[in-house]
Amino acid sequence: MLFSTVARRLTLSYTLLFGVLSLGAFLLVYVHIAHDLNQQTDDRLRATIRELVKTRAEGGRAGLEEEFSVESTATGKERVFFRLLDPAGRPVITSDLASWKSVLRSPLPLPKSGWRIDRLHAPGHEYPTRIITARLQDGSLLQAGVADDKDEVLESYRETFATVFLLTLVLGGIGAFLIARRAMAGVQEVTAAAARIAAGDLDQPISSGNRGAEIEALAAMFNRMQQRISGLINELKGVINNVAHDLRMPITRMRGVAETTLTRDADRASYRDMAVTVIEESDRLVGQINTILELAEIDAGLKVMTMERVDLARIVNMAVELYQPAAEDRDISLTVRVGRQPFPVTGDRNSLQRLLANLLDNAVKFTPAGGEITVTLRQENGCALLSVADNGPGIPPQDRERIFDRFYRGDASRSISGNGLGLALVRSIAQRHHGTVAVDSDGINGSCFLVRIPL
Amino acid sequence: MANILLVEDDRKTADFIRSGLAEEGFSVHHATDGQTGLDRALEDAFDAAIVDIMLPVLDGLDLVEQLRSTGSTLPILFLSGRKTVEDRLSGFRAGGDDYLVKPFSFAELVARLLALLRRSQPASEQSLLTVADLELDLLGRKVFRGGQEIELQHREFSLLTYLLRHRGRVISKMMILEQVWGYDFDPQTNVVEACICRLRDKIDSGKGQRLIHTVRGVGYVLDDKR
Repeated sequence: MLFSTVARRLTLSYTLLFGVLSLGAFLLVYVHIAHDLNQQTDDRLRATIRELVKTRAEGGRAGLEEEFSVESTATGKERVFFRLLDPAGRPVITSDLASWKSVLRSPLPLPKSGWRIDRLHAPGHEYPTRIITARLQDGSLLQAGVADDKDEVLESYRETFATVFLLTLVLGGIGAFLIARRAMAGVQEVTAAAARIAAGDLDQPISSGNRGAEIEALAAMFNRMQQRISGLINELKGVINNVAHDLRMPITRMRGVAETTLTRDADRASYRDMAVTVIEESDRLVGQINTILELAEIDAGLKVMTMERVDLARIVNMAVELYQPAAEDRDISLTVRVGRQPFPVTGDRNSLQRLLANLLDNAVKFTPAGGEITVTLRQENGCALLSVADNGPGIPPQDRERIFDRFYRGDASRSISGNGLGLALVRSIAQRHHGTVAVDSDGINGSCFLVRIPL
Repeated sequence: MANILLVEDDRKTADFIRSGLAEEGFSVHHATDGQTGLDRALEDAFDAAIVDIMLPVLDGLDLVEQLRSTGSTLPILFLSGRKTVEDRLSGFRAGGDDYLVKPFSFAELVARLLALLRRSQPASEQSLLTVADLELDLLGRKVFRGGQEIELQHREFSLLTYLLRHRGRVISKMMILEQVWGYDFDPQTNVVEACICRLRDKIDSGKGQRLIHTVRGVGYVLDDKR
């Protein structure tokens, strides 16, 4: 398509607009000039008649005759003529009419009184002629004709205009094309850069320059997008590596147990053990896959959260009840400080249960025997403030920022089973509830996880 | 003997379900695609159907929708690889009675199937559940072992009720979490094991016959015949 590019379309539109506007301006001026020229001629003719009437009154027939001769000679005998006609229209006195024969051959309409102006383009005569005929008080008629050269003036005006018009149209078109192309050059640059990004090159940002605020904004936006994509891809790479690693481990264990059971002369009990291992490891795998998917769904905003009024106090109490025996088995005292009244918040019940369970899981895992875990729930600054505090080893400062990252596991946690997703899920869930999670720890005297959810 | 229709295209999955259910005393008929499944369901009288959602020819949701449009009230248990709330809802909307996510524990499949079969033959709910010398009074919320009252916490009572209602059947960890705590996920710490131990301490220790048994890797069962 000839006009498929924006630059070409802009050029076409500019040129068309430009052409139409200048044509309009021309027409306006043209009509004005034509009108003014007629007006001028007519004024002159009327003035001449008045002059002649005066001459006739003062100098009589001879005066008039002389005036005719003088005036026609001065202007040019082929440019002007004068006639005095009797009331019936027959010539009485005339200037030299040698070059006016073809004009005066046909009879002109005569006014009964006053005056009239006619325009006549007689065949065989070079110019159109403008003729004024005035009836005088004695009934005779005075007539003056003048070559109407208005058309000549207008024609030369038209010619000049046409030349200038064509020239400006061509120059304007070229100019418009250059400007449009220049404006679009930035867009093309961004397109080229986007093509590079699409081809997988995520390291080279679009250079900034002076291409106009809109283009710069577009380029900046593209750079931001590129950064985000690159960040996501890196994160994805990390996640895939971690997932692959975490999935390989249980599969390795299953395979190992199955193989050793098969190869050695195993008894029934060994097969039973193998089956148990396989089931436990598969359950762990499924749990892990579900957690990864859930985390991805929550973060991508795809998980359908059923936001309703739920009693957070009840959720806390139930979770504590669930973890109490497990904590006691580890000789950890788990206490809960929750008021007797319901504590209504708006949230997704399952997700909040998960948040609680993950925090308790974490606390139970990292608190040594003889330790204490305290769960409190209270209202503070329009938020539900949930804290899970333990007196375990705490979290070293370098880990504090990162424990909420997916798959991040501090040095202390490497020997303890886990997938590094628990706290990431806690953060995602808190965020989906417009809340926050933070950890408070001096790295020595335990740690305290604080979840705030707006009421 | 209950007649079960199994519509599942994956042969290995179908085989283990079939053999497992046969062992539990069910008679299983297998169809490998949705259309065949629908035809079988319309031809023969089944007591319940297990329908996979992703099926060739006619998917499970369409199968059940069409079956329901004929006025059939056959209890239907959906199997699916997807576990979001939305997926579950579409299963129920299509006319399914229950929804089980793959991979599942076989014990859970059997328990859900039995629950569906029970639902279709309404039985009067007992208020007193007993196994051997263990008695549980649902109305008075009291538990007796050998005539002696045992103090149980709220959740422990719910847990024992659940086990008693499914006496003789293996109950998986996930089923307990779901039924007693309303959790749809499995915490990493084995909290259920600890809770069962606690309950066992109160019910079983020093009281003669053991009633609560652990089936390693699978779950727990309350039974006086083990």
